[in-house]
Amino acid sequence: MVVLRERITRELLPFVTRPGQYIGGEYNQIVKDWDSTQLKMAFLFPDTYEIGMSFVGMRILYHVVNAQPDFLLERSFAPLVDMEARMREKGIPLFTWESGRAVKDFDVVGFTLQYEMSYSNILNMLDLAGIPLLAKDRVSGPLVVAGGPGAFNPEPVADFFDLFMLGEGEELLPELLAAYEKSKQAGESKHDFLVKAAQIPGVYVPSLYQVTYGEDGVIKEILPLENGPAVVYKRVLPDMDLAMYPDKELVPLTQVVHDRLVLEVMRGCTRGCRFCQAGIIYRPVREKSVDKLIQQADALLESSGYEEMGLMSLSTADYSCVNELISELLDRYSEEGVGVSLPSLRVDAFSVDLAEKVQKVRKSGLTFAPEAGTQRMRNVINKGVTEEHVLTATKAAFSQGWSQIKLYFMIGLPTETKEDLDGIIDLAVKVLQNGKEIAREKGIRKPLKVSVSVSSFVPKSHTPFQWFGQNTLAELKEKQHYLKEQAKQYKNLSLNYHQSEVSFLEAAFSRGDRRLGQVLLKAWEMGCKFDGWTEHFKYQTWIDAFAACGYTPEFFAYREMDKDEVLPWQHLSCGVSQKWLWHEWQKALAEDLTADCRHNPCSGCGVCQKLGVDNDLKGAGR
Amino acid sequence: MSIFRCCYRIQGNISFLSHLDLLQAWQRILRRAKIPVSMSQGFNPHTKIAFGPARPVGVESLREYFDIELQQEMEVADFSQQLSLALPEGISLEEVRPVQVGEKSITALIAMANYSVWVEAHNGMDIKKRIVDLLAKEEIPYLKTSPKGDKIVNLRPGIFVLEWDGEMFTMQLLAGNSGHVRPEEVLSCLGIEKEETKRMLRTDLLCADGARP
Ligand code: SF4
Repeated sequence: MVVLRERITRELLPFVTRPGQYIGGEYNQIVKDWDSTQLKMAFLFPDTYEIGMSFVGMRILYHVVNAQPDFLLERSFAPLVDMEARMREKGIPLFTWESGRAVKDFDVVGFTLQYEMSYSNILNMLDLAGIPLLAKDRVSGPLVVAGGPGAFNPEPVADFFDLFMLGEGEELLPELLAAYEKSKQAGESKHDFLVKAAQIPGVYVPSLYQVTYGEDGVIKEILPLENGPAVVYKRVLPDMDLAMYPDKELVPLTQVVHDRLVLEVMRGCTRGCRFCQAGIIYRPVREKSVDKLIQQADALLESSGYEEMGLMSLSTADYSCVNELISELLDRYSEEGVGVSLPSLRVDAFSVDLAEKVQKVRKSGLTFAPEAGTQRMRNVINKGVTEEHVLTATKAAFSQGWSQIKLYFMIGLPTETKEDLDGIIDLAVKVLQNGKEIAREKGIRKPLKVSVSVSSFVPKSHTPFQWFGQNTLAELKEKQHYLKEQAKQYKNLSLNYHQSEVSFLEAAFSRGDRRLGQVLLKAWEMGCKFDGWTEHFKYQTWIDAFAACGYTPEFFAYREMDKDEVLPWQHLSCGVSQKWLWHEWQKALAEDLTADCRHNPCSGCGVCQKLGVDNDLKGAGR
Repeated sequence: MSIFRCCYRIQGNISFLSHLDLLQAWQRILRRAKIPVSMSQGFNPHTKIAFGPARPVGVESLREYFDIELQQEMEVADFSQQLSLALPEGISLEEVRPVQVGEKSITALIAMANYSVWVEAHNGMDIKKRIVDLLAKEEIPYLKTSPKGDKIVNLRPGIFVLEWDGEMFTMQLLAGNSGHVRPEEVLSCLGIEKEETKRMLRTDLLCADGARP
């Protein structure tokens, strides 16, 4: 074993770009004794170290698993292309960052499914590890599992995994590992273990479900076998103050994307934006108390030496004690030069004030996400934001000295018309004009800039828009072109958009079923990996891979689904009922709003009743 | 105001950190250790630390230096103890001493570096001859590549010592403000491939007069 570690040092690291990303050894890294630890798990992030290390979920599970005396967890990431080539040339398998051991030697190998375009990397990493890709070909060797948001529709990767974990892993993962350890000791077969594991709440074993298709290619039935539950419900923690959270953070030695301490202030969001999957699958809202957060911040800062702390959640300005928390944090730490940052802003003046409060140095840009250009469209998506909000927020930002505003929009939303596209430009222009006026009044010379970022809407499973067929590539491109032309007429207004081919494939995978496993395998064989990276994304290869398997991405992405259609993820639930989602879909078409249940009566999504939890707000701050 | 000169050792895989990454890592180490580092005034305040010359990526070192200015007086012993507790694996403190008033900063002092380099077994005779031939040249042109552009430099004036004992090279090379010759460059001039290198160790950083800083 030691031999592999030495080979990595000698034969790989001197020959690759930025070798520092492969060495581990971060402060607070945990390296447990291999021989005396019963069950070993490798956590694989299907993207680079730089990206993976910014992912909080991994940091939490790292702490949770390693806190158990009988388990250990080590990390591995996707090697960059030059490193991979060198590994293959030298015959060095994928290894873990902690001890430089082969991933194949671990009992459990776990991935996180964060975005569809990382799926090809999963196959590539399994292959680099020397683990057979298809679950059915793995009689012995590590159990291959996954969690994360993608586990709510894991069907496109179902062929490659032994099981998935739905929902929050803090309790579920240790339970699963304990069960696996017991099963290993008893000498059970993998199949016997999986049949038992399927009884653990939150565990989904895809091989225990038989999927049949009709003539039209639509799913006819999803049939559980061997006592598999008809519906697998996610796991959820009722009280975030009681949830395990690391008191020591891994401190990366090289640059990572978000190089700061992360304080998770709450989980879940009930604003109910109809396009947003996170807003459904992480329900309900569960906040941590200010006391708890201060206690965690103290410990983490002390043990890390970080100079910046990010307050993380789906919408931190919605945290009921956000003012109190920020004041307290600034009081305690600003003297030591520790800054506080907010990852995302709500579209209102309150959020601008928060940003102003935490702003430490030079003012650069602020980002807001109105998501749609007209009130009608914003009602369809239930984004509770008015033009008034957008204008006050951006005015406040300009007055307080910000000179660059970035606005996020989506195109290709259900019911979209040309008016809604024009609305995007109109709104941006109004923001710009306001800015100019303010600059004139205040005698500000700095040039103003408004940049509009337009993404193509991808319908996601477990949202009210899951039934909606995506706009075609041609439509999206035409819309992008139209917007670009409109924006050109204005100075100081820039507009950019993402590659719509990526959004198209994302939609196919996000709404896809098991049959896509073959396509994924084919695409990987044909050389696809790092699809989330523009420079590596091979659209034509993907299309060829679909064709080679006899499918089209159009079928999965463009098809408007029927109310009665069996959805590929019908048996996987986050507690929010399909009935409610359909109801929301109909309300969307009627341009009808649904209020946030934090401050209004329950709107009946069902998660609280189904899973025995509640919105848990720690402050009165309503 | 007091300035401490710190000498540390960096060994193992952490030597694959780039110089810049290591500077950033030191900022966090100092914060964890609660060392009261002086800050520069101005718009973008930064800590007052001066580092010795960059260490080539992948080269381990027995003696790396930085000078650090403290906001308040501290005992050397306390300073060393606090700092040692905050170090990541692979970095250890060798020596800390106060810098006297009037002493030059570490950046200005360092002029050369000593290296030990182990390579795969070679025919000793041949290497010895290559060394003699190389050192006999008046000019050793070498193409240095960098993101800023490539240029050809003469390595010869920067090679002070180059010896081979059958297993290991001993080198003394130019390092510091007036330029750098890297051991890898010298090896390449001797026709030794990177693949054949087993380990590179910087053993010392020295002033122009050969003394330690
Ligand atoms: S069940 Fe009601 S209160 Fe709970 S998250 Fe859903 S809508 Fe909100």
